[in-house]
Amino acid sequence: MKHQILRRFLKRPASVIGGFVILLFFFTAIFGPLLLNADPNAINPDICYQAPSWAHPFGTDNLGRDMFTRIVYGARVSLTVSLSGVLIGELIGVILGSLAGYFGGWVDTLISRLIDILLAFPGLLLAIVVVAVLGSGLSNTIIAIAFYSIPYGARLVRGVVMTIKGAEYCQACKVFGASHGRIIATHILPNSMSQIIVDTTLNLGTAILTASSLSFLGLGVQPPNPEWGAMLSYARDVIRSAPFAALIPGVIITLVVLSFSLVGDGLRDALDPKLKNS
Amino acid sequence: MLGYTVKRILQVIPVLLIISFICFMLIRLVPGDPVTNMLGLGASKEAIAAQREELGLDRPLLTQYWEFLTKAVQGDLGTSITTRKPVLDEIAARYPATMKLAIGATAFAAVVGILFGMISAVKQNKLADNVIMVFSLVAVSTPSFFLALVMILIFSSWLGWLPSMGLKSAQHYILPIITLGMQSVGLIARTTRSSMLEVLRQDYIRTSRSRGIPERTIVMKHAFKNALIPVITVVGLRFGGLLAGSMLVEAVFSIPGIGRFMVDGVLKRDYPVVQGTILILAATFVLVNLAVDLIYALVDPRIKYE
Repeated sequence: MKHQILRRFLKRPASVIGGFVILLFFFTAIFGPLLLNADPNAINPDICYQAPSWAHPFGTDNLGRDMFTRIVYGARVSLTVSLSGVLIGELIGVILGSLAGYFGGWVDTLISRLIDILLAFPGLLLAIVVVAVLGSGLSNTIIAIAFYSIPYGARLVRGVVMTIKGAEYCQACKVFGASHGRIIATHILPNSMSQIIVDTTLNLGTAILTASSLSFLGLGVQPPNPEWGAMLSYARDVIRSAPFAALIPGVIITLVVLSFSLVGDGLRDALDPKLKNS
Repeated sequence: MLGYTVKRILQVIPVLLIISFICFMLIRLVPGDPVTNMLGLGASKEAIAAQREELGLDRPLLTQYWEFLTKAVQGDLGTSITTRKPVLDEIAARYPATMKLAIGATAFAAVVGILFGMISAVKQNKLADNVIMVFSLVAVSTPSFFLALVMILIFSSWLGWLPSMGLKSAQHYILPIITLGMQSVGLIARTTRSSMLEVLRQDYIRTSRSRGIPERTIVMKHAFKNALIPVITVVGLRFGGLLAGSMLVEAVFSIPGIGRFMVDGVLKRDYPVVQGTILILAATFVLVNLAVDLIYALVDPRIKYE
């Protein structure tokens, strides 16, 4: 089974390339700062906005800090924010969605209305509401992303659970006296797993976009923390004289987001061929 | 149709009420004393007392909410702390710019996205299809604030064709609208493509082909109309996203819109402004979705019987 999934995934070259980029992104985020062993916040006013060179492969920023080091450390910030935000949001979403789909009735009505309300706010606006209440910063950006991931995960799992719970094997478990918790945990969730994985992968890309958008607006991760969106924000004033300062972080954000989409699409086709072209 | 319309409008009312409640609670959920949060530690006793009076914090929560709601319905969204002007007046001055951007970007995205999607579907698996699909994927993945900077660099700085700041003339709208709409172009192209492919596989299309009807007529007259239904939903949903997304584009192109006003409000902790802008944006989003649903029912009569 696992071999089949892998084989189907490997058949899509675009997804494989996306997978490589994501592996590189994870590797950079986890090991990059250890390998570099440099201070991303080391200021050198003599070399502000220097173009890329051997000494500074990605150039330097407004305070003469090495952009390559900041991009590498920024990968860690982006990964931390998006991964923890999406996982927390998906977890809450999966719990809410399972409860709504499994129990139906007033539980479903209540949770579905909650999902509707959360969906009534465009994603970025919802993130801003959270930041307006809690303030900016790393942990609040994570909470903002979690909030905005809840409704998507919940809606998806609710739908899956509603289709699966009517299946004969679930009915059989009920007849044998299995508890609700056991049926959800051992039968329903494993069957929704492929869709949850695909959803999480696709959400990670969106989360990186949202986190960098918040930082770009000055509402996300705060300076001097190296964050890709914030790096772009400093660079916008010098876009004419030092375009590399905006182009490098911009291209990297795009590349990572694009790769998450490619891998998400690839995983969807590989895990559930029935969904292909849908 | 009338019954369906009434039903949908009634469904919107609780959503609007809850959104207003969330906006109302916003100031009260911020950790610490709301008035000190709003006015800062250096505020005078009189100012604090006046703000406390305006918010009515000593009264029961539901009474406070009722007052907030009745005032909001009458157009009173409070006074901005930084500019000392009524929030609604401030919003009214900025709303048109944001709406024009969002409407322009939606129209741009719909026209280009649908066109790309149709070409892609008709030329399935050929070069044009592949190029358009790669383009769509890159468009969806590019942050709008980055695209904005690239557009300024190319069209304003290098080529000198278009202005990059403010909204003084029609030319000033071109770059912000393209930037704001680009992500949606990708989404709409992908939706149109899959919807067209689905329709082109139907029996009645095969029948039309066997009757010798020219391919152009089949695509334009028979398939396109039916393929349009899911596309309308996506276009409508995108409009709300663009309304919120405009804050990024407004920031880069120095456009005095409601999004930028909201971000400034959050940065300056001007809570009445944050409350008012979020309320207006979310309400616009909900009402646009309602309009889309009604148009949807008009285009596809099956919907209202479900």
